[in-house]
Amino acid sequence: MRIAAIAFAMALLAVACGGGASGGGGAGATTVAVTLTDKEVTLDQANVPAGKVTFAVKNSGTLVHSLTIIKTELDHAKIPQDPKDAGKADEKGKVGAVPQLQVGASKQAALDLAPGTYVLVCNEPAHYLLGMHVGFTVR
Amino acid sequence: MRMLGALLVGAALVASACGGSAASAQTAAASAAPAAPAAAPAQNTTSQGSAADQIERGKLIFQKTAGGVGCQYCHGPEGKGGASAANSVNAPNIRGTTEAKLRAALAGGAALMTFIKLTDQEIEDVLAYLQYLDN
Repeated sequence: MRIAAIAFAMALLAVACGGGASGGGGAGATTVAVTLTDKEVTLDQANVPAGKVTFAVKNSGTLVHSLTIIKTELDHAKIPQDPKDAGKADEKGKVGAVPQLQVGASKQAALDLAPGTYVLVCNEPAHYLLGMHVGFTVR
Repeated sequence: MRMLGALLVGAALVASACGGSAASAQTAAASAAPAAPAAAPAQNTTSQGSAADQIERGKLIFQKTAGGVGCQYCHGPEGKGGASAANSVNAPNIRGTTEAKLRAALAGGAALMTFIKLTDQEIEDVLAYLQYLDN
C-alpha cells in the first residue's frame, strides 16, 4: 500500500515537472502532435522551445498525406508554388519530413530545431492548395 | 494633365471590369489540350463573345488557371483522369458528367475543390469547354 502511494506521488511529480508542452522525447525534448485531415494541418502546440522536437504525425483524413517542415519567414499561406509543380508548395528551407502516411497511419519525425519560424505543409499534389499548411514557431 | 490622369484611370477601370478575373486574362494555353474551334456560327454569339471565344476561355481556365493549376492538374488534360495528382485528391474522370453535377462542383460544391474560385462567367466558360470536348 505504501509502495503504491509512493509510486503515485512520483508519477504526479513526473507529470508536474514535465509540463504540458513536453513529453516522450527524452530530457528537454518536446513532442508536438500533428493531425492531418484533408484540408488542415493542426498542432497541439504551435510555439515550442528550441532543441529536440518530435513531431508525432497522424493521418486522420481520407486521403494519403505527408508532412514537410520548412524553415521560412513567409506566412504559411503565402509559400510560393514549386517551380516544377504548380500544385505543390516550394520546399525551399525544408528541414525535415514525414513521408506518405496511409489513412489512419501515424509516424514520428525527430528534429533538432533552431529558433525561428517554420511552416508545416502536406505537400501531396494540390493539398497545399486545399489549405494543408500551418505556421510553427521555435523560440 | 489632371483630366488626362482621370481618363487613364477610367479606362483602366473599364478594362478591368470587362476583363473578368486574372484567370481569364491570361492568353497562354496548354499545348497538350485539344484545340478549340477556330470559328463558330454567328448566331452563337453571347454577351461575352462568340461560342468559340467562350470555349477558348474555358480551355484556358481548365488547362491553366483554375486554382492556379487548372482543372487538368487533377482531372487530366482532357478531363478523363490519369493526372499525376488524381490519386492524391481522388479526382475522377469527369467526361460525360451531367451539367448539373459539373456546375455544382465548379460553384464550390466539391469538398476537394475549395481552392477553385470561379466567377459565374468562368463556370459557364468551363462548362462550354467540357461540352465541346464531349461532342
